[in-house]
Amino acid sequence: MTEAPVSGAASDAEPRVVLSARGLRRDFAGFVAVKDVDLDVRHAKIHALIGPNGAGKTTVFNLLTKFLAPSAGRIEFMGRDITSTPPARVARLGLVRSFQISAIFPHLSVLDNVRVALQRPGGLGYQFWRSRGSLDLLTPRAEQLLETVGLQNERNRMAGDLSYGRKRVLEIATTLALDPKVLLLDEPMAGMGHEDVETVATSSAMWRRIAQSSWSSTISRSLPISVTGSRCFSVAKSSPPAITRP
Amino acid sequence: MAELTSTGIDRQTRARTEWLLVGLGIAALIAAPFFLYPVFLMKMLCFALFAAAFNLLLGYTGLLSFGHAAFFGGAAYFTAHAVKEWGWTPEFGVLLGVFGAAVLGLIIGFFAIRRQGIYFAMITLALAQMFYFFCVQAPFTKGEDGIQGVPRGHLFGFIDLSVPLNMYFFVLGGFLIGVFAVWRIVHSPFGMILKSIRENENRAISLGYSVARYKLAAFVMSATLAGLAGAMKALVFQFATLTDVTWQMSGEVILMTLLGGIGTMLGPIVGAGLVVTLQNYLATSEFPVTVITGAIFMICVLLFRRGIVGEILARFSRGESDAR
Repeated sequence: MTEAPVSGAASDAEPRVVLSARGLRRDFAGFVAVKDVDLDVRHAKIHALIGPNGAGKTTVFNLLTKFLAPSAGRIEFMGRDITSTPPARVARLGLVRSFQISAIFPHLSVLDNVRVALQRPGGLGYQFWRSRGSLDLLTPRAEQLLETVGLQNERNRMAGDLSYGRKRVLEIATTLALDPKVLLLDEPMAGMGHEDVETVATSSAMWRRIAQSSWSSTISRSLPISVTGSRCFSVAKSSPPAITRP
Repeated sequence: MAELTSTGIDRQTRARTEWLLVGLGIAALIAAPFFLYPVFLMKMLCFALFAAAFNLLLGYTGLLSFGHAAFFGGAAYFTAHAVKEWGWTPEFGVLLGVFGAAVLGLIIGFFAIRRQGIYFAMITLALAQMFYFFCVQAPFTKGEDGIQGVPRGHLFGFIDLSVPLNMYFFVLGGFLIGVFAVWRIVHSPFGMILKSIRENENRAISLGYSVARYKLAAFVMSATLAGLAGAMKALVFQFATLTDVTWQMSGEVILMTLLGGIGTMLGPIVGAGLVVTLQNYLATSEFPVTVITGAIFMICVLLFRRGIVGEILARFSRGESDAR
């Protein structure tokens, strides 16, 4: 794995590193899925993680967010060692991921999907004695987030009834609700059909907005799409990792 | 915008009908003992609460416990022992049973939530079976005989619970408190998180929720309420036996809940009512009860998988959306 600036040489004033991994490795019963991954995610930058199918992009995401425990290596987030921190804790620290398959709560309404994400920072997670009406104070913020991604007209629909592309967009809205410091998006555009072309078209503006609001974003894609001024990591299938320039 | 307000009104009228139905139901339960055999009704209420407590876990958190008899039967033993051997008043006896079930729930839940799906069910079954053998061996449970002749005593020291109607209203009160607790938990901020864990556990983790804690909390709450049901049952029948801690009892509560409809407030209550009624009326006949309930369960699984109440609600909302 290597790091290659997309456009020209890196500027002399590099922003500070917020997330870094050194010698990351994961074995699955003898099969080495990820080997010797070193990466640095910098403040207020969009990075992309690319590679062919099966190269281990999603595994790297799983390792970084601690959904999988690394077999070897070390992960640091904002100067703090998170190599053995549980995944929910990592999310609370501000390193938030999305999933390759759209991860939503299908039998909750679109609005509730976002409100669930807003509940924890508000300290409304464990309150089993209060009515659901106590969540109404989260509604304005939730509606604002739905508007950011263009889902405001579907707030009362069941999330499971949304089209595939809209589910992905909803997932992004719930992820943003956490005010993440670093956002890891696993193939956010994968599988979007014609009906979602518009969503994709508007999304580049959306990504910019996201990039501004959070510290850093990392996007994993199966196809290298150049994002100007962004940084690109590539994962190669062969080991030792080959250097690929996008 | 017009659409929004109309759905708002719809919701309001629906809420009003719901409250009306709840009011009618409570009125019917108050009137029932004057027409039906109180002990039968009390048995029904105990099992209905047991099933409602179980549904909190299966229907709203997505955890299938195969060991809930331990909490139901365990609480029955604790209450029976406290009332009979230590001479406690019924309200404290019931409280001890409830507390005991909560502690058992904490212990069993602590180990079980580490695994998911079928492994979770198997661990709860294994630990509940361990509790069963503890009950067979422990001296205070009196082994195969069980704790017999438990006095109902005087509630708060002056209400004689050996009067069937007094006992009935005591049980009805416990039932309503228990079902209200389930309703409150389900419709709370905490309940929202439980549902999101049921829907997509990994997503809940990635949103920063320590799902293990939520699951354990739900498990303990469910066990506590199952304990309330078991404690009251011990006083109703004036005995606590091994029957209530067997795995068959764990199976029965699953059956009741599925039959009525998981994830609905009313489903488990209806399911429990149906199963208890069948058991009651078939007990005197030659025909084996388990064959009938088994056949009904098969029909339910084949024809209406959402359960009785679940299916009615689905039809109702479908008709509504057609009309719109």
